[in-house]
Amino acid sequence: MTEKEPSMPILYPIEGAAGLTGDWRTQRPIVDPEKCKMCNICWQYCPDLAITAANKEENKVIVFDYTFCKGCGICARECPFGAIHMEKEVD
Amino acid sequence: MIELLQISRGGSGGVTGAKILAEAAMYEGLDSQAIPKYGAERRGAKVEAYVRFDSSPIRIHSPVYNPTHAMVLDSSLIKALEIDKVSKDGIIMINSSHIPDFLKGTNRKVAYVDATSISKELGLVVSGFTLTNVTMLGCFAKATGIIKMENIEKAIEKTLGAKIAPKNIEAARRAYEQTKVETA
Amino acid sequence: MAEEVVMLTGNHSVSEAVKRVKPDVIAAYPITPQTAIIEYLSRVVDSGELDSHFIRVESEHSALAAVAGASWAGARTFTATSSQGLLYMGEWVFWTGYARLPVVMAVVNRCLAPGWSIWVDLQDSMAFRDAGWIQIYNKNNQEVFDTTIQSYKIAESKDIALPVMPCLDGFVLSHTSSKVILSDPEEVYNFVGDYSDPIIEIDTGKPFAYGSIVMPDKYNKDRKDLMEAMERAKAKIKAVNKEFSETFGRSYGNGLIEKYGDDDADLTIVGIGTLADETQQAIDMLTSEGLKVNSVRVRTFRPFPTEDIIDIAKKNHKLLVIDRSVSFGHEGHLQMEIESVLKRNNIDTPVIGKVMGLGGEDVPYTRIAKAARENL
Repeated sequence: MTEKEPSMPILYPIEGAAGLTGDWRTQRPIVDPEKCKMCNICWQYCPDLAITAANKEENKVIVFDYTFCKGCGICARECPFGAIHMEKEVD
Repeated sequence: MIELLQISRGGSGGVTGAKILAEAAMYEGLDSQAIPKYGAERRGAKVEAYVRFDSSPIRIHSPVYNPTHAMVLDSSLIKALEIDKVSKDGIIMINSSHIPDFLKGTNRKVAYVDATSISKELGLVVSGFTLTNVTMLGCFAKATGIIKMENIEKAIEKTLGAKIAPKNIEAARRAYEQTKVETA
Repeated sequence: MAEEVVMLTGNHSVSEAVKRVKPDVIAAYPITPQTAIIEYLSRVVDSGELDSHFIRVESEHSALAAVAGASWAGARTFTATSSQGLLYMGEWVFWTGYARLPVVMAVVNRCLAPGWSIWVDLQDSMAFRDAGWIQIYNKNNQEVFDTTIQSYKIAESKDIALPVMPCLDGFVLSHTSSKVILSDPEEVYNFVGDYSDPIIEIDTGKPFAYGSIVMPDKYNKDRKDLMEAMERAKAKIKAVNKEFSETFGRSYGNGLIEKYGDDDADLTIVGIGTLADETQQAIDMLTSEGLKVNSVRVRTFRPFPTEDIIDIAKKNHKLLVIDRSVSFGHEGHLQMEIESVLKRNNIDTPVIGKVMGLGGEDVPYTRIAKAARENL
């Protein structure tokens, strides 16, 4: 006889547990590749892991994941080089 | 019974707007109910609230599943509206200067007004959020005719108090005047 | 100030009632979905609108300990809680009941963790059904206001001397706004009366000790009296409901239960809280389909309306009991009580039990109607 697995009040981490939180956004962060120094401070601050870190060796600046970015603007505020600005989302 | 679904963003005053509407219905002599759908409160996320109106006492406590009318306080949320669930004879009210593409060809009665511009003109902005909750009540009054503007104004005055009510009443009045109703 | 008709949440309905009854001491700790009750009360105490001592405490355990202490000293008291907060109070819930202190505590029903959830079921207050508290469950915000007032009149009666727990469904009532008639404050206060002749008070000329050890004979004497007080409370709750109706024009069945529809039904749906209100909507729907159904709302769960349940079971043919709480390893609490009443009185009316709406699961009247059709 196989024993039934208990249904326990446990949730396992999954990508986007709160849904596609990009829907919450009323403004989106935009990076200026000319100004981005690839320091990745924004990446450290992003509370939603919605930034792919810049890679200096490959000369790649940061990339935003707009599927999950809530548009909080923390990255724009923390960027020491003013390389990120927020733009209003259009309908 | 008339049931309204209101869609807004967390932090934009949707719950207060629903309550003011229910109170206005009370002054109209109707029984009414304002139900906020609570979860973990999330600023910016889509939130729903429901308002019921009836001429006899309401004994239903469930959320609204098949609304008579729908009201969307932020045009970017229009895609979150499940149109098929709204009554065919109902009105879709939206804060927008035009009928959104999403609604075009649906053959639905749409009431639209640029509530954001009205609210901004009157300085109804709190912590960066333009409050359109009260402004859109003017759209509701015009589009549905369920509640007279005088009762909406009385409910705004009662809820928001003498200090901030006048600007909100003015916003609702402007929305009432500027609301256009068309078949999409 | 006269009667006012307002749009109010269930939480504020509690607060408005408490404000009119004017407790001497309020102590509470915030917990969702109850917090708005005490926020409002702390505000009116701060503004001087309510002359009451508001004791800020660090936990629910201390909140009830504080009001119980005040009650022992002869004060009229109030507190409120929910869910985990009620559990944390646990020791003092029993202590207050067994001490026969007329404390009134609003419980905004919320389910218990884990999983963490803030929505309604009745598991929290039902877990304390044996604590010696009167429990009254409400169907709408008007009743919440009215029951909170009535609770003081019941609790502070010397031949009862029991704490009362007015219970309201979390969010479904606590955060939903609907029309509430707020009766004239003076009339409400006069209805309840002042508490100048308390059940017990500290009198330095007549010292007493509480919480001390007692021998089994005294212990059993006290518990027997508690049992009898609960029995007497049935008549008291009915009388208060009647007097309230005569004064304010609002009543809730006979105070213990509220019936809806005609007797001799093929199926009687028995429920509690807002689900029982929603059930009335289902009854209208089923009646229009030509079905012989009626419903009963158990308003007072403690003391349990045994005689009324006997009467209902005799006058109808089958009972469908809908519970929003459950005793794991057995069945729903309401079903449990009803079956025991029927068995004890040799009544063979069949009883079917359904547990619905745990953890805030919505139960629309259409679902209740479906359950009724399936069991007719």
